[in-house]
Amino acid sequence: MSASIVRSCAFAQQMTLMTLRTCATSVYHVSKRNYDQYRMKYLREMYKRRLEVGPEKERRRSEWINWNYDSEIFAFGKRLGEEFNETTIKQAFIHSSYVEKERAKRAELGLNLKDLTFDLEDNSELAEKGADLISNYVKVYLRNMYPYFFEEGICAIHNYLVSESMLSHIAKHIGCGDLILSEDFPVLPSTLSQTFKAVVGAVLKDRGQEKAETFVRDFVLPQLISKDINELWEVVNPMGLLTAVLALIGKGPPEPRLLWKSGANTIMALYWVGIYSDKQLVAKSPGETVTIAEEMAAREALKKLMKTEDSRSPLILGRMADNLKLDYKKVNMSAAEVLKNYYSQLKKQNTASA
Amino acid sequence: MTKNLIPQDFLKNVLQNGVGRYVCQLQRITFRFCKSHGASRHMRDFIENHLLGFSQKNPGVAVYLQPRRHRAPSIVAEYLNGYREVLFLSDKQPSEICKWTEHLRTRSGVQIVKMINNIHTETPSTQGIWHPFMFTDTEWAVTKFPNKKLSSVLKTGKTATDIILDEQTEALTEGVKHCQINNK
Amino acid sequence: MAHSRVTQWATMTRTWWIYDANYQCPFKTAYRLLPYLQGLNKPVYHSDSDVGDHVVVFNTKHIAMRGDFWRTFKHFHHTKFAGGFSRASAWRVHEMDPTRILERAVYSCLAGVETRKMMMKRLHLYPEEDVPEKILENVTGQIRQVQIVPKKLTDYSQEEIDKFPKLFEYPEDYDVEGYKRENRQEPDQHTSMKWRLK
Repeated sequence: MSASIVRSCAFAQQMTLMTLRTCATSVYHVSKRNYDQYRMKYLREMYKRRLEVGPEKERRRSEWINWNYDSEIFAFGKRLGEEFNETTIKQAFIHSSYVEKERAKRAELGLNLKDLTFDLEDNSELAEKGADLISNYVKVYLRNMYPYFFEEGICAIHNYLVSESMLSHIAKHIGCGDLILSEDFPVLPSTLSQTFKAVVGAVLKDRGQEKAETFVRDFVLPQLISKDINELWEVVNPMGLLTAVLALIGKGPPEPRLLWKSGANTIMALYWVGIYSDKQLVAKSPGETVTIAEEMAAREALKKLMKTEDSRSPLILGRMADNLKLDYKKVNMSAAEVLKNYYSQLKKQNTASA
Repeated sequence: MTKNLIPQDFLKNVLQNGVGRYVCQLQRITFRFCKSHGASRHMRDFIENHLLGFSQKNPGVAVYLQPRRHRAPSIVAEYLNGYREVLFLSDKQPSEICKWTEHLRTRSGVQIVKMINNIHTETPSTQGIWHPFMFTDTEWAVTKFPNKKLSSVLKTGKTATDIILDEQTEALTEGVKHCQINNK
Repeated sequence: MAHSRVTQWATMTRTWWIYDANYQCPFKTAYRLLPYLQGLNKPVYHSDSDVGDHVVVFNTKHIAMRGDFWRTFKHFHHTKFAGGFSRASAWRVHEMDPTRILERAVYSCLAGVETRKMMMKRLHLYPEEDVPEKILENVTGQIRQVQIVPKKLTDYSQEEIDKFPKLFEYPEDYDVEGYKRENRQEPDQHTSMKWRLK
């Protein structure tokens, strides 16, 4: 019995040695009959413990070994086809939170701020200038591309394009995410959108207004391609607006007529309603019920009058827009004014008749 | 494997790339190799002879070299949309490494899966998509069904009855003329 | 988004068609109605997508079969139990259910089509001309008939009969009023004694 105990002890020792060895990542096969069982149990236990510890902590890209900030900045500029001044573009990526963090660090270390020059400047100035340019150019471009679209619609499209989510999405896919110096990680959408505006500001500062506008035209405006612009502007009463617009043009009031219907008594009913003005068809649209079809037909008619139908020519972007000349002072009509004029006229007519 | 289980996706473009200006989607490449091991010899050859040319031609791609002892050579490519691709190139000739580098440069970070359709467009139709009433006669809109006119077979050509009747009416009219002439 | 929703609704909508089966061959009719039930007339057709239309057929009681098909064309049925096989001539089936012949004709024409049971549900058959108002309101189009409806003597007005030119002289011993008399042929002479009507 003692012999067997000794033997089992020795065996146990050997096993512990082997488990120690297997603590390293590579596991060699050792020809022992019970070895595979132990190995399996060991690997299962390690897997369980790894899951308990949780996933790998998300780190900034700069924390990995293969990172060189200067070369990344250089590559960023070249990738976009722009020649930046290094100081400007570096400034564009510095967020105010980073500046404050640096200040706090230096205060902690006991360094006197008066002695050392604090070079870091955050990107808020560049971002402001960039934001102004983006806003202005987007509106000017849209007003020139859609000259008959109402001002409210232009503003709606502008708000969509210049929104935080859109600009942060663009910034992320240009490669700003890894270059940003800020306290928050993962980078917030607000930081990303501000960085994008700062980049545009940097282009404006280094290369001039025309190049900055080309930049906006190449990155911000193509995001309209997959979007229906008429859906961005919410019109509450399309029929009312249509009546006012037709009166403005000098055509007769809109008359909706049922064109075709199918399966009127079923769930899958379909009605086609056409809107006529002076006995001429303006637009037609289908719908699940007559009211829906009428409303959609009114919207279609408005689209036709504003020249923003689905069959309109595409936006002038890329190389086609190299020699594009825009009228910066163009003003589009306002829908609210049109409605106001129409209804005030109606009131006058009513009071006159009364 | 059933159709649903094979990974597939429509054609995708990152951020409408190419519509405005073309941006190379490859953000950075890292060449990992061992300085002494035999498997990395071709990789070292590539780094000595071909890498500078590549980096000069593509200034928008950040190139890193990462020597790792006792490890197989590999390339890590990181794309603008966050995708990371690792290629192991043990014992691959320098020309093949060149080709793989070129492949990584020219693709976007979208995962390569089976394409459902190799065309994508945002405006599939300019004349409007078909609907059942596109080419129907507008008269049908005011017709009350069932309608005998629309139901009956269209007459094409003359039946035997028609031919005989025509002959008879011709003969009759001729006869009448004949009678009239005779009477006169 | 709303506009695309509504245009998709319009493209994938089911249209309702009406067809008059008066004096039509059921088999030719079935062949004529197939593309409408399957949706083959639509450019959005695909066998996997359910794009078939509804077809309303009336006057199925007045269909016309060629030759002696009323007597010789058999419908078979098996109840899936032992000894459950039966067959009946077309005229017997027609007497029992005036829509059955046309229904079976369309069903057998759709052989090989996987969604045929669903398509049969979209076929609405009415023996006479009275179709319910609710169904008539759904109808959007009419399918042309397959055969010319012959004009019977009773369909001609007296005027037209009088106006019709005399093509030839009858022989002297011809019985002119013979068509008005009763048909004195005995019915059921072709059927075995076991199956004759009582």
